[in-house]
Amino acid sequence: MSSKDSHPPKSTRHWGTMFLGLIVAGIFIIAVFTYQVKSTEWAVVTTLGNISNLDSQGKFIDRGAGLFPKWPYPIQKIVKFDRRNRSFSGNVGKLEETLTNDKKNIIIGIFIVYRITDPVQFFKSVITIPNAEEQLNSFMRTSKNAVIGRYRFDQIVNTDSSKVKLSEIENEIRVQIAANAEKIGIEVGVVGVNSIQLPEKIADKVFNRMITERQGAAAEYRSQGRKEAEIMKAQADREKSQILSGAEAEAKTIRAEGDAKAAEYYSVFRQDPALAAFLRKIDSLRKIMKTKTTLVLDTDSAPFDLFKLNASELEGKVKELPPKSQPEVRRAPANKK
Amino acid sequence: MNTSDKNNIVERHGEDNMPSQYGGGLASLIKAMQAAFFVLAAVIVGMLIYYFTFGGYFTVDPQEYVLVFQFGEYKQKYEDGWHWVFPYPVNTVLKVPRSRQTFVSQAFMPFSGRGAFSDPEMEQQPAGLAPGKDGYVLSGDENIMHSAWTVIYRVISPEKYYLKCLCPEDPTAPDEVFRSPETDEPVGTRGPRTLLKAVFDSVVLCVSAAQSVDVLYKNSSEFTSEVKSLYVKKINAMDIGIEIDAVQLDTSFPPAKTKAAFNEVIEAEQEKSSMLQEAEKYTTEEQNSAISGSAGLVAEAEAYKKRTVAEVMADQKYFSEILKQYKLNPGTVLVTLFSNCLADSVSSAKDKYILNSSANGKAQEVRLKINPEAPEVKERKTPDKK
Repeated sequence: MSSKDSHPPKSTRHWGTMFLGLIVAGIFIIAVFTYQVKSTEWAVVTTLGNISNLDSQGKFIDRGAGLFPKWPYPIQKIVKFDRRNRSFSGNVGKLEETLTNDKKNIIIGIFIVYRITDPVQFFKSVITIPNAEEQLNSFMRTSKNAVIGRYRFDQIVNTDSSKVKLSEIENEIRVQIAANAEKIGIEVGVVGVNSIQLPEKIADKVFNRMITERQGAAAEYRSQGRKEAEIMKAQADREKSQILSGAEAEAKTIRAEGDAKAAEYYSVFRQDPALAAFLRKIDSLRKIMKTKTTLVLDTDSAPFDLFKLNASELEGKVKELPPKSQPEVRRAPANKK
Repeated sequence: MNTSDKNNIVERHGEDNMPSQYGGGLASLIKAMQAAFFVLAAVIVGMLIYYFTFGGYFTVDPQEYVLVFQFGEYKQKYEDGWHWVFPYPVNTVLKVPRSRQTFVSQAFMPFSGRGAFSDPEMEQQPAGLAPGKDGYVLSGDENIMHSAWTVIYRVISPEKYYLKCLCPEDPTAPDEVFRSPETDEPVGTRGPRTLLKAVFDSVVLCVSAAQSVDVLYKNSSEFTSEVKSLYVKKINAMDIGIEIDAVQLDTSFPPAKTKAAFNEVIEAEQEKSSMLQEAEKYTTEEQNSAISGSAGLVAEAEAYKKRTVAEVMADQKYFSEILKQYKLNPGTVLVTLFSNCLADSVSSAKDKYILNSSANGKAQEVRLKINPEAPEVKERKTPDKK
């Protein structure tokens, strides 16, 4: 086999090298002659210093996101701006005192949420975000002072929520800033008040007032407590009295019912009132004598009259019964034994 | 360059009468270059293989979303599994956090150079509040209060979140710190959290400005609820793909200078509360006493009624029975009854004195010491007095 046969032709021998070269060249060409725009960006194309992506009326043509062709630098330059919402709280003049309509000094801080909506205008007027924010800061400061100056302090803080005009204040500031920001290609979406403070000396006076108010509130709580407790106790006494008097009345009625019912049975005693009275007396005597009693009896009273009889008199005396007199009863207090 | 090329060169050098020592060196150089080229080619091929396989492969973890951009243009959102897309620069893969995110608002707290875990309420010095340094809210009744908050939120629409809200290059990273162009000092942060926090602080101020200090200090649930409600409304209006899960009031306290006065109010409230509790206790006791007393009165009356009726009924029956016998034999019945009664009565009497009142026809005088003192008791008492 000759050396000519053992080696591939010259055109195919370097295919690998050529392929790599083509890839590198391709990447280079794509990198130089195209540009990518993200969905989050605006891209302004300048050709020899002039903005190219403008329509006949000079307005920006948004081609959207994707891969686009371009002439390499320095013929064409691509300037990209983020189109998303960003918040900015300002920095210069943030701690400046602002005068309200009723001449009260307050320190109000605001923030804005903005986004670039006209990249050409933005590019022409401010170019960079720091420049834009410097201008926005100035707009914020001016608008804030102008708007706050038209409102009273009690329209900024007030326990009556219908009198608080913070939303209106924010909206007015937004309108003013937006009008200026539009000129630099920025749209202001939200303006919010993120700090309301008082100058240090005024804050000290507020502390004194707060202390006095709190002391008053403490005294009020104590006196209210006493008052309410007394009312509750008086009411409880009244209710108790009412309940007891009601119960007494009910008890009286029940007793009367008992007495009335008992009286119904008294009719039987009318058959022989003397016997009834006698039985009552006997009953009473038994009840009375149940306790320790000292009895002093006369031998004239039955049956002790028997002590005075002779045997011969006994028969006649027996016939005289029932006795003439009742025994005398004297109740003495019980011995403390 | 292969072996035949090398031989050719060596042969040509030989023909040109090149010194043999150069021919050998050149051959070694060519050999080394060939090896280097081979290694380079292998590396390039390896890189290309890696690029076209692993370069476009990605998995989506449960705590994240993945957004794919083709030449910068948003194409698709992936929520789970593994995927392959043509790698960068054709496609760009971005991960957006899906799990619950938290930020803490300390904008209304007094300034302190303390660490993150110290208690600001305890360490706060009774000094004035410097604007811009110390944060606070002004209540509707023009009082000053401090508060600290925690907000928990979630990204529910990663495409809206990334496309509408300025995010760091890596959306899972914290917000970017930006510096002053003049001094190069950090002056703030940029990103979704910065935006959310600014809106939140504004909402807290708005709600506080229309509430009394008592609501801010004591009724934290009402305060928090109003803040959350307004905050959710504002964030939803911005439509940036975020949902607010929770708003928590971590702490709320008055300035140090007024702390004692606020504590006094709390003490007074406690006193009031204890006075009312005492009055309630008294009321309950009196009510129960009245109820039991009235029940006793009624029960006593009922018992009296029953007893009276029962007694009368018994008397009636007794009387009827006696009457029958009495009508038959009145004398005997009366004597029997009388004697029985007398016997019972006299036997139960402790001291009995039976006197002949008309002895010798004259009245007798009897002196009785009623309730005499027992001699034994007297004796016993004497040694006690010693």
